[in-house]
Amino acid sequence: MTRLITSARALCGLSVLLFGAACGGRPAAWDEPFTAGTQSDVAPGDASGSLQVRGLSGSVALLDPALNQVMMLTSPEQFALATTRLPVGRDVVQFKSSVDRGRLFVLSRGVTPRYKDSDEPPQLRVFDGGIAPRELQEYVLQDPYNKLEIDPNGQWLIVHGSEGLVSNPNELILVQLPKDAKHSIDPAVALKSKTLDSYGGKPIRFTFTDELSVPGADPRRLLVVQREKDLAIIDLADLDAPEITVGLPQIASGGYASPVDVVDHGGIEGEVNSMLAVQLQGDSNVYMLTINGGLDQNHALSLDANLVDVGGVPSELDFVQTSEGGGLRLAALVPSKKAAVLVDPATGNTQDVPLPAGFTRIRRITSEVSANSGQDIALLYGETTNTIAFWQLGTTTGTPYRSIDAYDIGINVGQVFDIPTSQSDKFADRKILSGGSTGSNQQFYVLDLAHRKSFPLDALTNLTLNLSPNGQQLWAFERDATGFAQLTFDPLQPSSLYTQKPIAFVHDFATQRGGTERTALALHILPHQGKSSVAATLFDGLEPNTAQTKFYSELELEGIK
Amino acid sequence: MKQSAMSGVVAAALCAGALSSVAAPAAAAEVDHGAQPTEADPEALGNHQKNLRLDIGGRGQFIKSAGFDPFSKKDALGQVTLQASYAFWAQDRLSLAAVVGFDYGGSSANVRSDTASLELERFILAPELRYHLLRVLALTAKAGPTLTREAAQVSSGLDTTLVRSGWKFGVDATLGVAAELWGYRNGNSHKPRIWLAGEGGYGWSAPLSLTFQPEDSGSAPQRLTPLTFDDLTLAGPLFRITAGVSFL
Repeated sequence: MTRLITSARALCGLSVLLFGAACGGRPAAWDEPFTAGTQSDVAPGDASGSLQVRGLSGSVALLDPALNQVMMLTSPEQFALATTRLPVGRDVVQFKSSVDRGRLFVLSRGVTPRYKDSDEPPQLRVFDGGIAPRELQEYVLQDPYNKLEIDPNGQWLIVHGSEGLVSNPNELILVQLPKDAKHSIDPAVALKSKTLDSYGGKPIRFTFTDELSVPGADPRRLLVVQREKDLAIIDLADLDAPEITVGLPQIASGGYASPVDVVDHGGIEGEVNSMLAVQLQGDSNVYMLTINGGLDQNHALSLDANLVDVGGVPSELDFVQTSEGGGLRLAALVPSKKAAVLVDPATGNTQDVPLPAGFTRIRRITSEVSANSGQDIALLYGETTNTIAFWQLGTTTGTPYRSIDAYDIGINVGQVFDIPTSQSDKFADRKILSGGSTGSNQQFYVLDLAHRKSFPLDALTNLTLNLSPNGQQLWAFERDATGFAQLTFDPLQPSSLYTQKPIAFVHDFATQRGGTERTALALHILPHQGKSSVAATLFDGLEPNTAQTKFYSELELEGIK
Repeated sequence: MKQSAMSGVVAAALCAGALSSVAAPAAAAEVDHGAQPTEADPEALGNHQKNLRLDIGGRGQFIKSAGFDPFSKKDALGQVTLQASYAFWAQDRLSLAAVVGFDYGGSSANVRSDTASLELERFILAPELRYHLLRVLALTAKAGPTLTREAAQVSSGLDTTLVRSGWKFGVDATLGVAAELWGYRNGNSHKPRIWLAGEGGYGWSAPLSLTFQPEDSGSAPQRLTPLTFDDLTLAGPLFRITAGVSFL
């Protein structure tokens, strides 16, 4: 009997040994619970909130941090959902889209510290956000960086913010992007490292200018790096040229002024050169920089500075034209004076324009108003007033402006959303005004600039707004609630819609069948067994109906190989 | 796959060798005084060969199907085996038995934030050819159809479990060895005999499309699209080790 037991044990042991040795494993991805990626630096009005999700032109991109992949959710046809997984690199620190939502940018730190060559390096990856998502370009970086700045015109990216044991905050990686998905630029050429000369300052903010005319040289765009006490101006047409450092003026207390914002204008031929204007922190002076031709062989341009006192601390600056083809002025809103101050860039002379309220924000809307007289029209609004105003520039007898039409809209406007025009400019003359306050009954406004009408829309809660990339509609939703709304601009008609699970994000995008067919996706991040699961409710993107949907669950399992 | 198949064959060979080594001292006694006095040769194979045998043991199978990945961290599936065989025909050292078998088992694993589990019930009906190398040691060969009930479920982030089940035909084909560990030497003895058997081979079941539906459709969101995994194909090298007792 003892022999029987011994023999049986030996056989079992042998079997287990062989069984174990012969067993393979499954892909490790199955063992990684899904946890939604989050981000801390949330831009105001960002519909993604703290979630690392991006609504793109033909897809929704959701970061899957545990697998170092992005899940690109596309729609082969209405109510159909497909998932494409694309690698993004380890330790993603930035997950952003281009302004037109055609591209996705992902900055990762890789393995840190990187002891072996085989350890993944820091990377910047660019993805096509259209109906056939794919990686367009992968840039390998020498060091891990944390910050990514995106050119609104889609031509440049700035990678910066290294966090090594010793790091230089003035080291920038400039990445030139191809103009569209069909073109590419050799990464070795596209990537340019630039270390800015510094007198103690480090980058605070970046401004990409429009194309500016330069006497004796081709028009070019500039990158203005705002630092604590100076500006570094980089010629984007000649990255080998040393940057121009412009010191900011001293303030009464003895220190140097800090920049708050920089605005630019391409100049008016025969009247004034291209200009930059710098708003200074807590200072009634504005710093005006005129762009002239280069003074040495290293630079195509030079700058002349002029300090102008506008009589109070300005809340915002913008260049405006007061006559057709000329009359360039810098408009500085000075809430303490309830006035806008117009500064003549040629002479530095100022002229006060009384305003009906202490507006803090100005937005030029000339290009959005189809029938204009050549003079600029600006929208004035602010977080501290319930009034908005249309400011028609120009001059009439006795006033330095044509008209100021003020409207009491009942909310403090915290934000103005532009309607995307990359696919259609049909509603370019509309703006969405969103309140900055909280309360039980919230409102947002659709502003018709052409007819100067404002349409109030009541909302039960403080909603997140996400404008469709097609520029025809917007989605309003409350995170973790089950209701959301579609608002079409023509007719201006809201539709209330409901899902059976709490909503994390809503977006609509083109289906892969092309044409005008669109799918709207309400994304759900569902808590499950102490982790998360991803689900989505799909609607018709143009005429959504709660009774006609498709629900997809466990999306985090899709595409795992 | 090749590596697994090779491992199965090696396992079977090693099992046979091991059984051979323990077979020699198998005889319980030289004489069964309870045996019926017959004219038959007590040294003949007799009931060593023609008998009714009941077995219990374990079955292991290596499965490389991607559809199996959600249910197990290893490419292996273990099952409990119950088996009955009746050797109804014998000619010299060769005999033929009819085998009825039942395998039961399952596996479960985390699939990211969810849990997936698989439960299997397999029935087999097969002829088994046996060749007695020794009185207490026989080589076996078996091939026959199987019918398997495969029941899979996923605990989802919804308020209901997602399930999928189905019956699938298949086939098992094995070679093995059976050793009589304990029993009277006399082939005419009707006293029970104890056997240890091992076999290795290949098993295949038709693919099951893993399209999960909610267990309670009332709790699931309206118009829920089924969750789908890759098809589950239970195919791969297998081995089975059983202990049995024979009668007659």
